[in-house]
Amino acid sequence: MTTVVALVLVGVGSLAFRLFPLLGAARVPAAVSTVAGWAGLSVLCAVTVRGVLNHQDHTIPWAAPVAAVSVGLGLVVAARGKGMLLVLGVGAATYLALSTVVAAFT
Amino acid sequence: MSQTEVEVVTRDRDDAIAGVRAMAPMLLVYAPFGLLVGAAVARSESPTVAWLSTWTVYGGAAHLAVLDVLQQGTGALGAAVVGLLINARMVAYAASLAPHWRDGSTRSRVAAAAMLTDATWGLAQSHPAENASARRRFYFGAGLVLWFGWPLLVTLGVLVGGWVQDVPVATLLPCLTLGSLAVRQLRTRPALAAGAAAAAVAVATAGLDGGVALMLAAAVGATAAAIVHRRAS
Repeated sequence: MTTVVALVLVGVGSLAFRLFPLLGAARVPAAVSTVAGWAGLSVLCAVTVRGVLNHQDHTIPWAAPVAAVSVGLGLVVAARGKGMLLVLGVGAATYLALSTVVAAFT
Repeated sequence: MSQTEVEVVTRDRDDAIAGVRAMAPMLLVYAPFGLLVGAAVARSESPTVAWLSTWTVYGGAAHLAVLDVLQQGTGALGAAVVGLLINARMVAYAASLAPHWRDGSTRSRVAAAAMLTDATWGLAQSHPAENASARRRFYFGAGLVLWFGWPLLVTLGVLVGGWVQDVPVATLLPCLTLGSLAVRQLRTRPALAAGAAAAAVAVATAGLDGGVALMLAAAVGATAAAIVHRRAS
């Protein structure tokens, strides 16, 4: 029952978060939309940084730095306008290569 | 149908197809995350309700966090607060999309809200569309792919997803994806200020609960961008 209540609350709340600003789109001032865009961008950046910092890999030491270098290289590729699959390929390949090297030398 | 009408229909379809094409690789990227969420759904006290909420929560991080918190024995209210804090970013996403939906029908706005999440928003924001209608068609093309694809991935995770958490590189892919969506938007000084400030807040709050940390990052990032924007103008 606890699970049902919690998930219904989060589900209804999440739908409301999405729905009300769009239903009232005509009343949302342009300045608010602009600031909201910056807030959204900030969230994406924060999620990325948190994902790297909290990355866990029990097979190697320094998992977070290895993840940081891998994601950093992937993002450099993304900043150059390359496709998503290439970005992921570079990030994942870098992670696999670095973790192999780190595991070999520790 | 006249030549002009044919051209309009073709152009409209092209916008939607561009959205489908942009989102399709994301499904591949989101696969490990979807499988992780699915595995958590399978372990939950009420797998059916947890699975059905894939469409309403419609955010892997919030879904996973709620299920994890519930597994630790926290009450319904505590778990709901965690999930709602994490998904509070949807308010910002929806408000930033508002200018493109002002002349859209109520039905289309409800549909857009139902499909709104990080990837849909990130793609729509970074897509160069010639007008609001084109942007909406692109959004629906991208949104529909994820709307059907994400629950499919979660369902697969329910069935066979337990092994994903043992593949570290797989768990890194979602943050690489969201990061690349963010990087493509860092083209103006205010956006750069927002990104830098949010990253600094994320480092400073790495030990905090995800929902609180993300709200802090959103507030500080938006404030930094507004200050830079005001100075520039």
